[in-house]
Amino acid sequence: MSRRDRKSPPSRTRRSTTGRMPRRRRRLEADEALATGQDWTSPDAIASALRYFVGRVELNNATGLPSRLGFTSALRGEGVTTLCVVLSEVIARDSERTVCLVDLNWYSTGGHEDGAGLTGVLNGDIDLNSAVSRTSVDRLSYVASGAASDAQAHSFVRSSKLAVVLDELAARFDHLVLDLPAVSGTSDTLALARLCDSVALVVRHGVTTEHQIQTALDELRGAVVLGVLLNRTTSKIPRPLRALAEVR
Amino acid sequence: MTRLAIIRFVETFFRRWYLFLLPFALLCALGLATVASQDREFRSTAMLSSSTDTLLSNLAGGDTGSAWESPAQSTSRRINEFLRTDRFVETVVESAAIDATVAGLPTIEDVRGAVYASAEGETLVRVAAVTADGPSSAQLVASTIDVYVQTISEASSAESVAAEEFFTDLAAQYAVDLEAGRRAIDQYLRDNPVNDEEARPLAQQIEIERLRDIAEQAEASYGAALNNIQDARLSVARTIADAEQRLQLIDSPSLPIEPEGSRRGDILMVGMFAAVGLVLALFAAGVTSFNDRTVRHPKEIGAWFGADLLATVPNAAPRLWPTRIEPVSSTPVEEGELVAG
Repeated sequence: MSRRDRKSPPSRTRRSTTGRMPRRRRRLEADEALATGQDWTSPDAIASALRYFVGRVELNNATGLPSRLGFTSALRGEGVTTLCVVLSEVIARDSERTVCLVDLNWYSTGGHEDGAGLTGVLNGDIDLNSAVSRTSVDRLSYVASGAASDAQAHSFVRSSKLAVVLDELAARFDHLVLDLPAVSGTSDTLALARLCDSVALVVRHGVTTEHQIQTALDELRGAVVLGVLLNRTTSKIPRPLRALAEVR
Repeated sequence: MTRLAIIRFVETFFRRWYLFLLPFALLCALGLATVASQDREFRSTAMLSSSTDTLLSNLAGGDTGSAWESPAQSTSRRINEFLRTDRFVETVVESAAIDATVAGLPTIEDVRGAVYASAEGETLVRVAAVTADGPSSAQLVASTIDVYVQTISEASSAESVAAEEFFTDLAAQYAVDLEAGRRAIDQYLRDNPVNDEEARPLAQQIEIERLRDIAEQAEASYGAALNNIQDARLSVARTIADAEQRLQLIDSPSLPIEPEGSRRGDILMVGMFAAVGLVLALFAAGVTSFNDRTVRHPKEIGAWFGADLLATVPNAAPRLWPTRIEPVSSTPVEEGELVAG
């Protein structure tokens, strides 16, 4: 496993004491804001790209946008959570459909460490209604993963209870956006992918290697893989040359 | 694939352009330092006209050329041949009276390498010298030409000079004989005085006539020797004049003020270093691009994996992110609200 693979994601609960936050932490603030019901606005550029994604998927699928759409990546830290948050907001804001963002990534828990969220539901501590949080965005709800040990997470993923919970959520919302763990992080991703109608692989531009992406795609072969979202793309090529090379 | 590879290469280059341009900058600096540390050289040239159309060229011999060699080629070849001899070079240096230290020519080999001749067409010969000092270069060229002309003249007139020396010696001998004959006549007359020359005995008259014949013969020989000396001297003068006519100085040695070819040579030198640096930079970028197996271009998704590219999400700049987050308490969703709308 490479050094990059072993790198754990930064804590999502840490805040800078200064007024200005580092870019990565500021990005994670969006997740936290949504999780805690705080008001926030998606970055326009990312929202535009994900609108394109929605349109593309709806165009390709006769049934439109899948009801249960999972997002995963080859490695941790490729921006799956951010894209799930922004995509959920885009769908909720742009259409009349209800969306529920479900965090199934117990391996990078933050925020809800009190046994609430999906962990509480699966443990029978709380009911599903208590786990679903309303957000400041109309028609967008959120289900946090809650804190769980690895052993608990493994059992949750393979329990029929999780499938039942997701079925119940799918019946209540038009779309479920499922935030899945990285493929290389745990084998549970493959089991979770089976609970999705379709899965999209998030690839971070300039970070994930060809081999890692190919491995992730090979492992997801049993699931319905819509395709790849290339995240955090940037180009250092000067604009005149970029035009010549047709690099977007 | 080639286009993708080129785009990857360009992307890789501009991603770390400051690193890749480092060897380029270093080699440019090295080139500039090399140019700055180079010795400045001053080149002086003179142009000679070498022809065969002189009255006494046949007598003088030498650089008349041949069917396969023009007069200019012949002259330049002979100058370069003379420059291979130590005696010629020493004579040139002595005649030029240059300061070897100032000129940067401490040894004969340095002088030999600093002076050369080359043919410029059929009849023109360029003689050039390159030293660290402008006046020394000009002096060296002038001295080389002078010594060469002198050498050629001496070689051509050697026979005449030898004849002159021979007749000079002979004339001296004849002069002695003439003087001796005259003295013998005077002595005989003093020994045999007579009041009336007509009364001189016949035997004395015959002896005096014999002595006079000897003196006249010596005088004739002396006069002939003097004539031969004059002819030999004339021949020498003609030979030298012929050599000088055949080798006419068209352009006097130039006095260089600026170092030779400084601009162009310097630019060429720095350009060569820069080119090597650029090649190194591009090579480094190429190797880095080849070793980088991460996705750099959206089209690589389809090309490498055959997967659909669903979206290209830009790396949002910080200004695009919310700068102000309003704290709002989380509100659980009431039962009955969770109904699809």
